[in-house]
Parts: sequence; structure tokens; C-alpha cells
Amino acid sequence: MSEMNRGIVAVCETDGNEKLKNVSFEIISEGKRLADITGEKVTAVVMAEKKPELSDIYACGADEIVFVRKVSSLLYDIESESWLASKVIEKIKPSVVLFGATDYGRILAPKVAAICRCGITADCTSFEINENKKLVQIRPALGGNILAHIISPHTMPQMASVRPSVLKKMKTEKEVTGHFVEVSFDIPENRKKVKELKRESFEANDDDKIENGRIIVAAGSGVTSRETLQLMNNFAKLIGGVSGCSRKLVESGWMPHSKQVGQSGKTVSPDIYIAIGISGASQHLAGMKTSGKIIAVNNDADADIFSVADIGFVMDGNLWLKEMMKFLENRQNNG
Amino acid sequence: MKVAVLVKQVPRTDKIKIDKESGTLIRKGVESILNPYCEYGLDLAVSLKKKYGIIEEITAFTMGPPGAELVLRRSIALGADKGVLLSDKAFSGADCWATAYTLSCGLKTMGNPKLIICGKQAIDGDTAQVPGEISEISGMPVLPYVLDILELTEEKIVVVSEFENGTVTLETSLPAVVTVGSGSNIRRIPSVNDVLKAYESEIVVLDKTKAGCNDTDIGLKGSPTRVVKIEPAFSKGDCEMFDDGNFNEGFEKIKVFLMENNDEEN
Ligand SMILES: Cc1cc2nc3c(=O)[nH]c(=O)nc-3n(C[C@H](O)[C@H](O)[C@H](O)COP(=O)(O)OP(=O)(O)OC[C@H]3O[C@@H](n4cnc5c(N)ncnc54)[C@H](O)[C@@H]3O)c2cc1C
Ligand SMILES: Cc1cc2nc3c(=O)[nH]c(=O)nc-3n(C[C@H](O)[C@H](O)[C@H](O)COP(=O)(O)OP(=O)(O)OC[C@H]3O[C@@H](n4cnc5c(N)ncnc54)[C@H](O)[C@@H]3O)c2cc1C
Repeated sequence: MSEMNRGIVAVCETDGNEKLKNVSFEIISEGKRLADITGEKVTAVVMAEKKPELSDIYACGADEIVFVRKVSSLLYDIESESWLASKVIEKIKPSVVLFGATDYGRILAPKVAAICRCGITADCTSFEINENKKLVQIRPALGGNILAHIISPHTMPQMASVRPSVLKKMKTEKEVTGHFVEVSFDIPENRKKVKELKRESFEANDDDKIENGRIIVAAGSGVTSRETLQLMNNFAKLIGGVSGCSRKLVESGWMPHSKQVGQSGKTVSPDIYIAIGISGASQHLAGMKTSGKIIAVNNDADADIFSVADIGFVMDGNLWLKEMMKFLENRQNNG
Repeated sequence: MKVAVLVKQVPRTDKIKIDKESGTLIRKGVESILNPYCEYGLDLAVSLKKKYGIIEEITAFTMGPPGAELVLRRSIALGADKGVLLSDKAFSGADCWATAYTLSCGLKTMGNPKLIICGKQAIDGDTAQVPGEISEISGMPVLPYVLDILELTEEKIVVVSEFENGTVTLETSLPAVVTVGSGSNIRRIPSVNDVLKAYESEIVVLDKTKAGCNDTDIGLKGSPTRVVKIEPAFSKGDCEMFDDGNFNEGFEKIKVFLMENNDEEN
């Protein structure tokens, strides 16, 4: 069983514009890191309507690209793509399969795993290879309170989804190339039961997406007035960041769901995360704990957010914003 | 038609704390609740029953230890018509696949409901993998992250699903599995009468034989994954603190971070 399976497969995901998502480059890069340890090769599987830009995929470490041309126009074609992915896996017989743990990946992966009758470890944040050459899949659980180490001792392939923005995209500057194959399969009728009737995007523009922000300034319910929220948005712009929030501000209708950080929102890992008036519930921490530097502003010195922060300010959020803006403006004027 | 809602009993993860000295979980006194996403699913089922005359019966299903019966009673108090508990020592240690398999067996004994409603994820295991696996094992399509159901007939369902970058309106034939990702955050409080009714209701208990499970596919034995180690998620624990009196010192530190960040970009 296990002796026969070799190779690492990264199942990529494209966005509505047929561009590969960042997380796909992250899983290819991680696949490459693991492949360097185990001496295997990396295959990127791309299911899309158009052939993707190949050079970037090779540059992140793929030895081979398997392109499956999509025929349906569904944005999220869960039924046929899970089947297609399982067919490709059946052919390649890899030892490891990685998915991005986006909303799509988190529903696609368990279906593929069930077809292949193998295990699936969800939302991994890191991987190791143990002394038996098994993949140790490390994932947060219990609302981010613990990290579980998981292995698939008896079944192949070892399948996992990987949280976006946690592992790094590693790209070589060298001119690299690899093997390219296009495959096609006839999708069975019982995989065509779902129809898409309408599609609505609520992402404004790329610059404002929290998943792209290298600096994020996030508000919680300690931001108690619209005026303070506006001040925070201005501050975020001033330092070249984007604004985000806790679930409470989405519930109150002050911020859209696309800005929510946490377990039921987005996972982010910017270089700098500034939390203003956020208590630090585990569900919120689950979405931002791996950020580079964490700065927290809260008027309660015992708030849990301080347990993950590098710098903490025990003060009123509104006052902090005003003083911080003043400080930055002075700096600019004084050079 | 018959509708099944899959409900899970979970600890209140927002009340779990880590002992900062020993690094262990403090679970003492943490109450068990109905998984919030399952409650959203139940609310959706109840509202569908009110809106469309075609739903004869809502059955709440759970797999768990005998005490998990409580979430079935809560589900009945909130509007389910009956509860089915899949419970057997042999089920313990189940991972997502074995859980999905066992629940699928239980669903079959109920004459295959046309619509299976799940929560998007359980807040303890946190995997969100069970519903997709159930849909494969039971041979039905899955519509994930449902916000609203626009149409329901004996033959088909139309839903609005929310993904991170937008919504899609999807249609499929029945039977189907749906998962529910959001709902009202105000927990409904059932009336005294409903609670009493729930406590008098009979709960159907299925062991592995009654559920018709293969011995090799359940519990730890049937599980392809193993949790080999658990550690508390790291906390940095060395936060430098400032306040009203010395915030300017803190600002200087932030300035350094911001400058480093700019350098990296250029
Ligand atoms: C299943 C589930 C999923 C969830 N998913 C998410 C998620 O994805 N994201 C998320 O964020 N939450 C999520 N939550 C909710 C989470 O448990 C918390 O309720 C939420 O994160 C709290 O938001 P908050 O920190 O803004 O508010 P609070 O917890 O109310 O904290 C407000 C903080 O502001 C401080 N404060 C008050 N006034 C001021 C002031 N003037 N100046 C400075 N500070 C002040 C207070 O001291 C307090 O610490 C989820 C919960 C559940 C059950
Ligand atoms: C720390 C830790 C990490 C784990 N990681 C993994 C892993 O990566 N992969 C893996 O295969 N297993 C894993 N497990 C085991 C897994 O948590 C259990 O199999 C669990 O029974 C189902 O997973 P979940 O809680 O994540 O459910 P989810 O898949 O998140 O639940 C989604 C929905 O499925 C339904 N559902 C799930 N369980 C039940 C149930 N028992 N009864 C009724 N309905 C239910 C509910 O509608 C629920 O809302 C882990 C366990 C622990 C303790």
C-alpha cells in the first residue's frame, strides 16, 4: 500500500478571474520544502477554464503541472472537481496531497478524501516529517486553544488542507521550468446535479482586501463610536494598512463580513496587526495569531489579547488613535 | 418530506482557558452546549417547516456518548420532532471519516431523509470536514455555507451560499446535504412547555448493530487519522506594556516596526 505511493500533489485553486490564488503558491512552496526532505517530486494540479501562467508555478517549486480543463462554468464546482481531483490522484498515486483551506478547499478536500477513502486533516498551520517518514500534520483546534499533531498511519495518500497566509510562498528568481500535461475526463452525469443561478461578489478592490494587507488595523466592540471607527480607517490609510474587525462589529452592522478576522471570518497573517478594543476571544485569535508583530490597545489590562501581543497599550482606543496620528504627523513634519 | 438535522454536543470553547504556568487546558466548569452552527441549522429547518407545508418531520441526529442525549432534547425544545442518538463504545475515537460513516448509517435507518442539514463546523474539532464526507458516503451533492433557502419542493432546492469573496445561488435536486454557516446570534429560549415536551419525548438510541455499521469502519479502527499529540497553542506571553503615561515610548517602537516593514517592500 504505502510503498507504492510517491510524490506530493498540490491541488490549486483559481479565483473568479482564473488567476491562481495566493494559497496555491503557498502549498506548492510547502510541498517543495517537504519534497526536499523526502526526495519526492511536486505536482501542481490546476482545474480551470484557461491554462494558467506556468512560470510562477514552476518558480515556487513544482516539477510538474497537471492541467484539467474545466468545462462547467460554475465558480465552485464541488461535485465534479472533487471527482476530477480523485481521478488525478488515482493516476499519480502520491504520498501527500495538499489543498488550500479556503471556503472552497474546506468543502472540496473532505469529498476527495471520502472518494479516496483516506484521512483528511483540516486547516493545518505546519508540517513535519517524522522518523517513520510519515507526514505530521499540525492544526489548531478547540477554537484555537490547542495544536493537534495528526498522522495517517495506515492509509494513503496523506491528505491535508492548509490555512491561507500562514505558510510562506517561496519563489526562486531563477528561470525554471518543468513538465506539463493536460488531461481530460468525462464527468459522470451524477456529478452534474448542481447548477449555479447567480453570482455576486462583495469584494470591493484588491487593495482593500484584508487577506492582501501587510498591515491590518482591526476594530472590536471597544471602538464605541462611528467617529472612532472613522478615525481608525484614516489611521489605517495613513500607515498603508487595511482595516479589519472582530465579529461583534459585523454583528452591529458597522463593518462588512468580508472584513471579519477569526474562526468564522478570515485567517490573516500580516507583518503588523493592530487590534483596537478587541478582547482577544479564542475565535478571534485563531484568525490572526500568526501575524508578525501584534499591537493591542485595550482599556482593560487583563484582556486576553495582550497574551499574544508584542506591544500593549492599556488606554482608551479613541485617545490612542488621536495621539498616534499626532505622533506620526509630527514625525513627518520633523523629518 | 423528512428532514434531518445533525447536531453535536461541544464544550464552550470560548470559556476554555490555558493555565499560564503549567500550559494545560482548564476545562473544569466548562459547560457543554449545542454547537452554535448546528443550532443555526436547526433554526433554518424549523423556519422551513413553517414556510413550506411539505416537511412532515424534523429529526435531530447526534453521535456521541449517552450524555449527548441532552443536545437532542434541546433540539426538540427548539422545534425538532424527534431525536436519534447513535451511541456505542465501539464508536469512540472516531475521526471525521468514521463519524461521517456512522451518521450516514443512522440516516439510512430513518428511511433516507431528503434534506440533511449540518452546521458548517463544530467548534471543538473545528474541522468542517464531516458534512462533505457524509455527502460522498451517502451519494448526494453538498451545498455549503447556506445563508438562505429560496425554494424547496419535493424534487429540488435553491439556496444562497456564502463564500469568502461573495455569494452564489445554487440549485440541486434532492436528496442533498446542506451546511449552515451563520444565523442569529441570539440564542432562542424555548418556552417552559416546549422544554417539558422535550424531556418527555422518547429518544431513539442506535448502537452499531441497530445502525447497521461495519465493524471495521467505525471508531478508532475505522479512522484513517490519529491525533498523536496535543499541545496548548503558543502564547507569546512577553508583551511590553504601555499606558496613558508613557505611550510615546510605545509609539517609538511601532515606528520601528513600520519602518522595517517599508524597507522590506522596497
Ligand atoms: C462559533 C463562533 C465563531 C466565532 N467567530 C468569530 C470570528 O471569526 N471573529 C471574531 O472576532 N469573533 C468570533 N466569535 C465571537 C468571539 O467569541 C467574541 O465574542 C468576539 O471576538 C468579541 O469581539 P470583541 O473583542 O470586539 O468584543 P468584546 O469581547 O466585547 O471586547 C471588547 C473589548 O474592548 C475593550 N474596550 C472597551 N471599551 C474600550 C475603549 N474605550 N478603549 C479600548 N478598549 C475598550 C474591552 O476591555 C474589551 O476587551 C465567534 C464566536 C463563536 C461562538
Ligand atoms: C484536537 C483534535 C483535532 C482533530 N482533527 C481532526 C482532523 O484533522 N481530521 C479528522 O478526520 N478528525 C479530526 N479529529 C476528530 C474529529 O474532531 C471528530 O471526528 C469529530 O467527531 C468530528 O469532527 P468535528 O468536530 O471537526 O466536526 P465538523 O466536521 O466541524 O462538524 C460539522 C458538522 O457536522 C455535523 N457533525 C459532526 N460531528 C457530529 C456528531 N458527532 N454528531 C452529529 N453531527 C455531527 C454537525 O452538523 C456539525 O455542525 C480531531 C479531534 C481532536 C480532538
